[in-house]
Amino acid sequence: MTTASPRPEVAERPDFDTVFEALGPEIYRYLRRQAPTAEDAADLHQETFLRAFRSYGRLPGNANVRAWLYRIAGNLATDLYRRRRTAGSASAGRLDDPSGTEPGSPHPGPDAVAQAGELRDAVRVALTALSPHQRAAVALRVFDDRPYEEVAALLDCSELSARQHVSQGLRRLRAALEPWR
Amino acid sequence: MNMNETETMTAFERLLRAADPLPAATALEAETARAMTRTRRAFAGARRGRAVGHSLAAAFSIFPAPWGPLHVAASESGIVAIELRSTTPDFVDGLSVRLHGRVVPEEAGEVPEAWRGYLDHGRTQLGEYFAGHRSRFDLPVDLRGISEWDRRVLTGAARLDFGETTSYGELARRIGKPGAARAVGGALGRNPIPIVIPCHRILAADGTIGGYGGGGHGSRVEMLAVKRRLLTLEGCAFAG
Repeated sequence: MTTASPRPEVAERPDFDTVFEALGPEIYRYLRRQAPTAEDAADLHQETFLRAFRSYGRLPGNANVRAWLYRIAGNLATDLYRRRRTAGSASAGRLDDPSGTEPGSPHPGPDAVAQAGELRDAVRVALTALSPHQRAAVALRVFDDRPYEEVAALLDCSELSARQHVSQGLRRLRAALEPWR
Repeated sequence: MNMNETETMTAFERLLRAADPLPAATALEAETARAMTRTRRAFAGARRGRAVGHSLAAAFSIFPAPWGPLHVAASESGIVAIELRSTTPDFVDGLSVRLHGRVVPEEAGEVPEAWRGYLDHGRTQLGEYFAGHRSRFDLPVDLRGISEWDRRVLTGAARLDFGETTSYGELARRIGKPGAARAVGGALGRNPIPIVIPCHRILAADGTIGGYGGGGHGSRVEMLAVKRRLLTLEGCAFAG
């Protein structure tokens, strides 16, 4: 067993299981804010990591694994809403909460948002209309209250663009949630 | 809108936060644990699908612990996994993913005698430990599939004696990474061989109990109860 070697740890890519155990819970948390139900969040979680698992070996050595996972998860969540909208209202009924939310639209206009039974549902629907970067930035900064420095590190971007993602995201949310304010 | 931009944003952020779609902490924790287990199983399936010549990786047995069944597995080089609060499918799936091989009950005919020997020693020594008659384990361990960092933290934790505790920050310092208390906590939470590698001896800096992964799928409350039990057994002082 080799211990105390002074090499920087960054050079060493952890195996995928280590990545999964370390980041799995926060990716679930991230997905849970966007998915219509807990069941959907669990499906997306599984799909995110299966996808990541398949391409992990091809990821460049210096890649930011966490940011990469957030991106995959965000894209899959966006896809889910898009798919369900195309699938039509028949299947959309299944996703809804008993409250009668309509989370099927990838770009829910004021109507869809206004139809949401509760502000909480409206927020979830409105979040899905943001770009994955905006969504991730808003979730981390506004909901999880992390400093911009950390948001930037998680999203693998500069602090300035993290700020921009948040302010653009908030602007769009504000427009979408107008009826609730 | 008459308010200036900044004020409006702040009020709006408050409104957003009040409507956070995330479930409450306890519910979220349970959901997360379920999702993690499901995804872990999906890996096991994906790997089984792709693996060629899937070889035998470990044999397991279930020992009694004061709080219930304890899952223990041995490989060709020693004890490879212990889970304090797990179910057999969760334990077997998780371990076969980590070792990239099959994990079978110790009674299976294909299990080499030496692996059973490790399990026998484990059973005896853990039994003595729980009964208060053993303060050191003399068992070979197999840390395969564990990252370099985790190994370094676990090796540091293994130097703590029975009844001796330290803090996350102090352990970080001892392994030459002062300031890495959080990362130390993360590695301890992933300890594949709890009890034998005594991650329960690491407490929060203020002497409160800290966290406990302890290898298992139990809730946070259940796992902390186990940690308290182990610390009490060793006569360690802790708060909370």
